[in-house]
Amino acid sequence: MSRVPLTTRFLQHPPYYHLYTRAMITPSPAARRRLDAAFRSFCSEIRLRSYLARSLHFRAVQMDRSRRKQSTSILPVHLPSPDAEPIWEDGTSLSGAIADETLYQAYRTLSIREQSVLEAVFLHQLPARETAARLGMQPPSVSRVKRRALASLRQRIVDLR
Amino acid sequence: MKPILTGLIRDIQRHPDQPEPKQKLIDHMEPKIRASLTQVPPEEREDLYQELIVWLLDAAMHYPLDTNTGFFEQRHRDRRHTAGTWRPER
Repeated sequence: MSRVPLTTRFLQHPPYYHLYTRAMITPSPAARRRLDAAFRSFCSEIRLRSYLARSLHFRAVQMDRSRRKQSTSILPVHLPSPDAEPIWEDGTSLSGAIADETLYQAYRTLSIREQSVLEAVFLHQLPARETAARLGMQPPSVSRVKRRALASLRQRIVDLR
Repeated sequence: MKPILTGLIRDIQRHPDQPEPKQKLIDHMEPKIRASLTQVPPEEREDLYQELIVWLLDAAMHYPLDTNTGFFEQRHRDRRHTAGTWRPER
């Protein structure tokens, strides 16, 4: 996904740019409403497309991970640290990086939303703003979900052990 | 950009009994689903395909379509970020 701001990507489409220039040249509530409506529609489409594509891929990786887990021995934890180099290679997933059985089981109990946030923050090392844009959330929600997910992970690991 | 996916999701949520929008959504996402199948061995792809279809239709029913961010509000956020006045929590 591009790092270009959403509004810039929006204005790259001629019809939307036309709406924008009309709203700027003749500012009226109606012109502004039309621009906002077009922008909301654009954002929804981008976020939905991204959500579906990433979730489908995530589910496929999860299934492959479950299959391999049944036939291979358990290895130590290999969670990348937040200071590690970003991994941009397509096909990576945080669940695929977890080899500790307890941690993996705890991770699987998190919601898809929580897993997606942890994957974006710890595996892809995205800032909260970028994570929010990719997952269709607000930046403060990213922080809140991350904090809650980590707390759940800690608690579930304690429970499982 | 035409809002194809959001239109399909809206149709599915409004008329959950109608198969047409569901089939259109599956057709639209078919390339991505097929690409995801390469994550597993060939003998498991049929199972995964079915699982992904079930998940896709379930996600379509529950995906929240509403977003409240308008153009100028988002523009303001982008500018704050590019100006370096906003720092994400690490």
